[in-house]
Amino acid sequence: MRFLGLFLLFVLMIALQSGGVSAAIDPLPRAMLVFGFLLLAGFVAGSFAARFGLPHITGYLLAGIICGPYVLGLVTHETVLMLAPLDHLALALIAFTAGGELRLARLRACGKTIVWITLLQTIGAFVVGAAGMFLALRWMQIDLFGGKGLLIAAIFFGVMAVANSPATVIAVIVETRAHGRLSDITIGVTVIKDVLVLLGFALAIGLGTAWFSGAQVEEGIAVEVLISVGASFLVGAVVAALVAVYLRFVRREFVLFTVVLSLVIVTASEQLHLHFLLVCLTAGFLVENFTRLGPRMVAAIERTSTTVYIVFFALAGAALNIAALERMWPVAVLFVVLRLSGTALGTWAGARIGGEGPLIRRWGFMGFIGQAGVSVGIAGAVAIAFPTWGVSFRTVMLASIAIGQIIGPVAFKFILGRAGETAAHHIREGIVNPWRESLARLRR
Amino acid sequence: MHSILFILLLVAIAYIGADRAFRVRQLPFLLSCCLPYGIEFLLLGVLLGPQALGWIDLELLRQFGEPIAIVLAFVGMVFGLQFRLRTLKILSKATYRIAASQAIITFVLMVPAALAVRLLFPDLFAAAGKTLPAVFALASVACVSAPTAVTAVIRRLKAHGRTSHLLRTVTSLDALVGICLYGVTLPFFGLEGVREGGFVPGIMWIVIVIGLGVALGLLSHFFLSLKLTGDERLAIAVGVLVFISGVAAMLDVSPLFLGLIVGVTLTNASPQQDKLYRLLVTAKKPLYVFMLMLSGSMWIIEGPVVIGAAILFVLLRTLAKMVGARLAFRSIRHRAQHPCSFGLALTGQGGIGLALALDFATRFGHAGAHLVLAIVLIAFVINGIANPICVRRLLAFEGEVA
Repeated sequence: MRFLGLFLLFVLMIALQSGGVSAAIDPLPRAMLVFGFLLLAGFVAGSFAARFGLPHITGYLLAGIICGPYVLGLVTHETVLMLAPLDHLALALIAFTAGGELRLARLRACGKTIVWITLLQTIGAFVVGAAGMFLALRWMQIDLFGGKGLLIAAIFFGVMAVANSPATVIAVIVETRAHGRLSDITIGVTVIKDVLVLLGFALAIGLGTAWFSGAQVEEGIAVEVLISVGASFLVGAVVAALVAVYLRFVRREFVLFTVVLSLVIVTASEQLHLHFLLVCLTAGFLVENFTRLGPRMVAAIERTSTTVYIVFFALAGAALNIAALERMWPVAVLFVVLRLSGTALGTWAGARIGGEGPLIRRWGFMGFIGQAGVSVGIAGAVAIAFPTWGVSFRTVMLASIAIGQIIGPVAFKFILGRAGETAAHHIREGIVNPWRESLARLRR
Repeated sequence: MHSILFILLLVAIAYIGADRAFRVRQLPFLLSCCLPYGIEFLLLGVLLGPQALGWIDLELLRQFGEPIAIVLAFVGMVFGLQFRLRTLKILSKATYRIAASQAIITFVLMVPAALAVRLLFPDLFAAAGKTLPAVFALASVACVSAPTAVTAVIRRLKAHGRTSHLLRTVTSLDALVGICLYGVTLPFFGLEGVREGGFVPGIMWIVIVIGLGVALGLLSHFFLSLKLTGDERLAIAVGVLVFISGVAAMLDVSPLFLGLIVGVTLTNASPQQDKLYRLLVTAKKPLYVFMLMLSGSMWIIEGPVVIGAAILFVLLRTLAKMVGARLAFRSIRHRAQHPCSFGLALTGQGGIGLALALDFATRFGHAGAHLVLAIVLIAFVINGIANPICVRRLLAFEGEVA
């Protein structure tokens, strides 16, 4: 029924686009039409994916890919750019939720594992990603980056191998209502690695610029990024304080307040050169752990998350460069394999030191496959900074992000199910699900 | 990005403001009449707009076009969702006849009256091609009364009885006539560089819009009739509303009219749409406040001539409503004691009237369209003050005040 509805809407949209009177004058009505359709298509695809046991976000991504510029061409590059503010807003809300998912009590319980996995995964993914790509590209004699560029490109490959998508992780956790050690470890490691990737990128870009210009390593860029990361944390704390005041005196319309606040953060971060993702993560974390009504606020946002996830992942799907995947798939697959090898190695070693069970040791890496916003941003920045080979690097990265983003959510949902942390498993086994418990407490 | 931020800030103010504004006021009756619902937000809009502080400048207002279309589609859909035929059968036919005939008579009387205004103020309107749509828009706005304000006064006075009930019902129904008249008269006039005017294209356009509205309503039903959680229903409702406003923008038709048809179709396609109505109605009051603020910032205050035209519009509308009510009661052979007072009680100007003016101003965009908005806003203020007194007077005459 819903597929028929979607198909008829699609036909209607095509008819309007070819015959609509405003289409030629103003691209905005077209963008609105397409955006409305994308939301509905994302919803249908999400529920279709769920029928096969796949995460909803895989469906949203597929809807975006199908509607995107490389398949049906409904969502053009121009439309994606027009809708970028909504994409940022959705990402900010997801980051706020991700911060809220970091509960101190639970983090303390698996703190040792989180620290070790973060450390060893970062080293493992970086070393295997960088060295593996360097050696493999030389051995296969693929000359994408030039002689001098290959070394620097390898360093960037290493940095990118570390990067994850907190949005993907949080979306799967919220959808499956997962609760347990694996969820806590995955979200903790992902968020910390997000910060490390930004720092690593700053160092790599400083090193690369110096190497190419023949000058000494310039500290300016690295220091700049360090300052912006520090300032982001600080601003996040200020935002959390503001939220605390709101919760103390107003205590209502949590969702609207958070939407407005997120948009203010995104706009202000653009002006002040801050990382809005870090600001929102910090604010979400502090609000959840240090205010009395914070958990209620985070829960309210999570309850209206479907629209946010559809917007973010459908647009992410539309922005995925399928043409790049077509061209660069051998190199991209190679990178994905190397990245996963490094990540799996780091996870195994970290989980072993942390005293985790065999499931997390062997399969815990499956939560770290997805890559999204930050990775795309870094790939774009490299392309701008090193125009001679950066474009090839970006193409390879976009292709590997496409692979990671398609596999990532499916793999993470699968392993959460195997670990018995999903709500479905809790219901089957008659275990009290903390999500339901907290909801019941809120209702009371 | 800035425009979205500003819109959301306005919505946030609207949310908080709506909560305050719609609480039962504890002020004395006459004093509360001086503070009609929402006038403070209208003035806030003027203050923020290009005429005062300039925080919302003309460029920003131009970027507001699409969000306004979504809000108007929302207003139309929420209004349409209330018209389920099975429920409507509960009311007597006489009620519908009074509501419809008084609104149509008001429209019919207002068209020549508004044309006569053009003769009095020849400089006010430009070419006739632009005047006629403005006249029809004003006449459509004149049909519509203010159900929320009337209900608030009835509640305030704790009035009970036949007239109170009739007044409530008629004010709730006449907006349907207003929107439909607006929707079917405006397509006969072309939009410069967009589409041609004329009788045959007009008829075709009306058929297209109604057909499209019904089709969209049925297609939305495919999605909304599923077993959904509140979160999923919200996602679909947002998708449907954005799609409707996109369709309206692509075809340059009124999103309000299109939303109304979609809403009526949807609610009659399945009784389950109550959940959708309940979901959407929570945002109704804040969006009304948002609309007021936007209208305030779009209000071009041009001096005594416009104020004169607005006062004339108020007088003519009052007269038309009185005549309309008298003739409507006579047409059903109802022996009402105070039909003219009943007509006077229908002079309040509510959210739908404002939405019609906003729709006209954003779609037609020329100076005449903004003039319509200015006239409606001034009428909104005047009627907002006068209407509670008229309603109280009528209810006192009928002996229904507690």
